[in-house]
Amino acid sequence: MSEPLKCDICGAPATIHLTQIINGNVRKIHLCEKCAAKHDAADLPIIKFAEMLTKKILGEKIGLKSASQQTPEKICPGCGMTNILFEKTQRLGCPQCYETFSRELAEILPKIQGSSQYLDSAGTQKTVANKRSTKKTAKEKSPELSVEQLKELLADAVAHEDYELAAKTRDIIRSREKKKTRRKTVPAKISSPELSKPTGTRKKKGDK
Amino acid sequence: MLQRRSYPIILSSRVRFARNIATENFPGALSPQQRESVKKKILGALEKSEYFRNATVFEMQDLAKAEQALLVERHLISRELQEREGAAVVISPDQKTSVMINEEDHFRIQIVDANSDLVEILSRAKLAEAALASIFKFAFSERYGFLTACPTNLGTGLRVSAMVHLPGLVMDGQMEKVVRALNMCGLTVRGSFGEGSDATGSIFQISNQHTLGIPVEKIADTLQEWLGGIVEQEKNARRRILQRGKAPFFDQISRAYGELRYAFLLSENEGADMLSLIRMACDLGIFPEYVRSRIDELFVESQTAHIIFRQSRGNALKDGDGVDKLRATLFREYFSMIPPPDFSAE
Repeated sequence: MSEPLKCDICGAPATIHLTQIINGNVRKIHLCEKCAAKHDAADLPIIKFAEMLTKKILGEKIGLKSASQQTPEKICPGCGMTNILFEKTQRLGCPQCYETFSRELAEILPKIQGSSQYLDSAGTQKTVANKRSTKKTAKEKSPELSVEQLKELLADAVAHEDYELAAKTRDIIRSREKKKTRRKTVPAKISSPELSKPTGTRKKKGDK
Repeated sequence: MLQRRSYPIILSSRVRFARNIATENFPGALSPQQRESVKKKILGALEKSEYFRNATVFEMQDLAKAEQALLVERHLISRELQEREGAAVVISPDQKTSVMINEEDHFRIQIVDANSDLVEILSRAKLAEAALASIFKFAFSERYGFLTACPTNLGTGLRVSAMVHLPGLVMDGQMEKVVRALNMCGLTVRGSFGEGSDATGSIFQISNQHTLGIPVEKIADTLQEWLGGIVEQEKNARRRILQRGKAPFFDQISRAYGELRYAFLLSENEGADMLSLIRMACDLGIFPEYVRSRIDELFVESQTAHIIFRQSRGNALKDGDGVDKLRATLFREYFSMIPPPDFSAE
């Protein structure tokens, strides 16, 4: 019916067909036995091989765009670093890259660092406390963030898709709220009216 | 060569901070010309700094390849810095503090000492870091901490490491297990020249894996705690080796001594392996204590760039004076003055 498929590299009849689907985009690669053996097709996972082919071989042979020529989704306004180059080199180009690629970082930081949040010598997370720049809290030198601050941090973490941090923060909030209901008679150091009313009664039940 | 004190098992400790200037792109994202101008700016500012008053500055382009290699072998610069255009290093007179400029980050502040008190070394590194912080505004984010070119250094920018001599664990075949256990505790084990290097002479570099989400003191404490455990494991391995039979071990030591004292050609790796055995024997009282500190120097001096540098300073290398021959001569000269192994102590 149709013509036999040709090898993408040398044009000989193709006997090996690789299909890669990324974000709904289907990419097919056809190879003859010789070219497949030459590039160790059998030993490589399909995605890695397809990626390697598209980036290195096909890019050169049939004019597909190589990694550096692909259209980047994100470009850092500070230094011109692209998401493609960042993925390839695992290096950032300037301080602003950390904002530009915050989504990518949220994905890799838990893997390479086991955390996504800086802790200073006192072991405090500075994010929210400093954003609000409340002199009061600095004066009190409280090493703990308030529930309110934690909630802000939680929202911030969710916004940055840092789900690990979000989960940790959520757990801390929960445990704090539990504690608060236990120490009902002791006036809570930091409590906001909208927090203490509804959660207080609900948590009390769960506590027992 | 500066005389350094020497201790069993732990050869040296190192504390390193990575820092970047807030207003500049990281060195990797700068052109060689831009890197050159950032370097000039940094060096100009450092000249006025009281902290760096007596330090020596080496700009990479002014150094011959052999001189650069010498600094690499002394762990004062990295192999990466050697390759960089627009890079420099600032070294303190005692050679314990060095600041690499325009490596992967604008600053790599490093303190190396034979002392194994990491907390004390950390406090000195903090002083050097503070001296730079008083001049330059570092790239810092409240969310991520100190920003670095590679996210593996992000946060504290702190890498704490110890160079440890573990021949017992290597001979006992336990090293793989130790590496696995340390990896699970957040520590990395590498060869003596860091990533991708071999562990010649049974010398390993153990350092923290993570730099983010842990306060600096905790990073140093964790390594310090585990070092104690590693030292114990190494001592146990050495005990086990001796229990299995003293003769094979003593034979190895004697052969190492014989080779170092009489050989005419020695490669860098072979020399390091022999020195490693003699160092271990020093810890066991088979050689006098003073030999160990000289062995530590010989580990450095017998590396290829040091041999070439030493020779070329006096007179140029003669034909047939290969590095292996010169290395063997260096060892022969020293070991002819050292008494043979005394096994009566064991």
